[in-house]
Amino acid sequence: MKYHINISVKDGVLDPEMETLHRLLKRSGVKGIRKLNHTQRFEIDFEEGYDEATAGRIADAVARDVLANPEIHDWTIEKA
Amino acid sequence: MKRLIDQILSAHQKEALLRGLGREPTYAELAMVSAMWSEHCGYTHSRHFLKQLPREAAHVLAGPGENAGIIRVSDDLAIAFKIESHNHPSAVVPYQGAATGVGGILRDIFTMGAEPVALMNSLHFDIRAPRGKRIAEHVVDGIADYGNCTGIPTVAGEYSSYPWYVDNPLVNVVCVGMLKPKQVLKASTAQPGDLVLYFGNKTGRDGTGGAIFASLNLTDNTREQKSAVQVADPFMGKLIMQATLELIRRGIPSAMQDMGAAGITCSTSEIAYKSGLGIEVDLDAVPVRAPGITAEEILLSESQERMLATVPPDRKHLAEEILNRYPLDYAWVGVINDSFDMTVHCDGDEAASMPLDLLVDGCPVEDYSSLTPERLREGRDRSVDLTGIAGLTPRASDAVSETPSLNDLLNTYQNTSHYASTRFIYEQFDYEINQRTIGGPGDDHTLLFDPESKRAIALTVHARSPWTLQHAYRGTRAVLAAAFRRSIAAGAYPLGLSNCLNFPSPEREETVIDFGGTTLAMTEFCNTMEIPVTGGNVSFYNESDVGAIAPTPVFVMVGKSFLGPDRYRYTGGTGTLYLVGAPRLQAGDLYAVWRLQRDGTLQEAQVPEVDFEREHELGMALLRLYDEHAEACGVYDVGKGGLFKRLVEQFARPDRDILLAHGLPWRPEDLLFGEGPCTYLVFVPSKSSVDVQAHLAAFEVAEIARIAFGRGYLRGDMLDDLDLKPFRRKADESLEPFLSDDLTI
Repeated sequence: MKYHINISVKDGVLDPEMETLHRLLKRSGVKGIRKLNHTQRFEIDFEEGYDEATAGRIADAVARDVLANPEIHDWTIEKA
Repeated sequence: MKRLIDQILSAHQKEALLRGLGREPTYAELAMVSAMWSEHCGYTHSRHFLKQLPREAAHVLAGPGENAGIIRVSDDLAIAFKIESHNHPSAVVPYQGAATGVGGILRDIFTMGAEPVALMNSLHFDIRAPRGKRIAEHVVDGIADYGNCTGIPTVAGEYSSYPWYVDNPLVNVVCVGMLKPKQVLKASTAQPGDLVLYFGNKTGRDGTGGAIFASLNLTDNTREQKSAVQVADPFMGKLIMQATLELIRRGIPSAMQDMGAAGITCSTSEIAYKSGLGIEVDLDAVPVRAPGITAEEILLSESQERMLATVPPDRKHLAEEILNRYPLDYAWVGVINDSFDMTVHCDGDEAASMPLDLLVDGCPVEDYSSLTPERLREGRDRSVDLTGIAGLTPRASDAVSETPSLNDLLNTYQNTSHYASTRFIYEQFDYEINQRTIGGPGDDHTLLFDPESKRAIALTVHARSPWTLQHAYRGTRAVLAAAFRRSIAAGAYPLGLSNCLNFPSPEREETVIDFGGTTLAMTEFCNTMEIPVTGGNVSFYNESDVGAIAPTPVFVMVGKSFLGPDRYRYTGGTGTLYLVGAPRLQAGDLYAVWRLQRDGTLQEAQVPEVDFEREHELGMALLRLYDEHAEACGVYDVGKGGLFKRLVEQFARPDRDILLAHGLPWRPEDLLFGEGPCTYLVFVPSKSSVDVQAHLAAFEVAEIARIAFGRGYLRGDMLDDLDLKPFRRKADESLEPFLSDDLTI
């Protein structure tokens, strides 16, 4: 059983990486970009024998407590 | 509008605003006023006391009110330094809060034209609680990352862990910069006709209302106010620093101010007001990051890494040339005029137009003249009653007067994080970048050496909350004297004092009495010692649902040191130890820690009574000793952890014994763990012929111990032989074991 966790920077929170990339693109002559966003995707592959409810709960906890910073990030969890 | 104004301003403030304007304010005006009149910018509860602090001295090149204080050390060297708190942001998002705190304090320094050369910090948590532990780790990471990315070393740190910081950590960061005295650039030197230059990061919604946010108590609800958190961008910070320093070096801006609390509103209005002029700001020209951002949001945004400068029109192209080269986003967002008003345009319309003295200086401040110095000196003795202080659960104990045995004290010493090495904190920081540091964090003295002017600068940062909790006035006097002793031990008479006053809500009278007591103690100290206050920061509302913090004034002292790279450092020889002064166990930090752990109170703990004149005389005598014999003896202050901590950290060696003299007039508990006024430890190596007792003839000096060949023990007739090796290991081991955290999902 696989779960995907997608983590992105909340709307309105500064994303220094994307701002830097945006500046670089502008300087290289790329026009027309209003804003850049990025999403990080994690894939969790569970061992055999885990039921959906348990696996989902673990994925949820991993996302909230370890991978994402709830103050800065939004995240979604989907079963692959 | 009517409802909004009542929500944002007090009745008092509303009346002052309506009277000053002669009409209803616009939304933009209300936004500006809400920020400038908040506790954070308006100093409503503190101004009465702060204005009494002595700030004048011939060597002060910039004092309170500027971005940072600057003192002249010599004809070719001046030092800019300032301390600032980032407590509330760090409580909510520890990593970003601490990192943006570092960014902010760096900007304060380079805005004045000084090159930041060192960072220090004063960090206070409760690491016994899981939440406090997590905050501590993230704060340390945030500070380390920002400092390391910008290449500014963290050279000293101070750390404590007490229950009252459980929900309200204190994150106070100090930056020190060097410059030539003639390079000083202020915010008060703009000229009519100058253009207003904005450069650095774009303006987004992050931190909107942050300045107001800092003036609210932390409740679970505010912990959810996520948009109020700014994100740091240290590489942008570094670029801005370099660009700013180049602009100033080439004499382009006429005045400069960084955008900190209350962002554009505060920087534009203050630069104009301090210059005695007016300003017109065009919000449509401000580079924005968030689509659809409103005028009020732009005015209050606290996006990081943004600067404001005024530039005479004929130098506009020079500024653009430099900023394009870095490259940095910039915009011309207004013009300085001689109207004494601030006018803001947005979408082509006038969104605000109000007198600057009303905006910057018109906030009604509390008048506390009924609190006389006598009343403040009396203060409140809280050694017994600690109601309302976070994390304390006094246990009814019939045996409270019981005194701890030497073994109790040794156990407490060994098993609390207080006396562990702070290496955990500083090892994450690059502290040797630029090779300016002599010694370093954890070393007893923090000295910066300027190779160009060949001068050493001593830095001290100090706070002692158990003392200031027991009695704000007497406690603050004791902290100031302790910080002074640290500076003397580092070979320097302090040239300036900066402070960060961390207190609970000023809306309660006891906080005001405490705050007044602290500032009164500072005034007395500065007057007696002739040390000016060069700047500072007030952080109120450090309290949450679980209670308030102990009043925690943090002091920074900077001085020109007699010590250079060739100063004496103990490396393992034999010699004699002298103790100046008379330590008492109950005045020491360890006693407070023991009592807190055992009974949840500070009962029987004491605040040392200090005499500033006496401290001054002794300090001068020790500086004369250093002046003549800096290479031949070492002076150490007896601070937190008492004499024992000094012995363990500085002198314990596996092949040496420390032999206490016979017939010393103290109990071992007092001698080893006590503290007191005018206490120092002086070490004279065997091969040196310095006569300490002759140098300090007017003071209580006792030969307390000899260091001889041996096996790492402390021996004497007052105690059983004590193996120092485990203590030494613990001292080296640092904080990590206290912070190790089991991740539970």
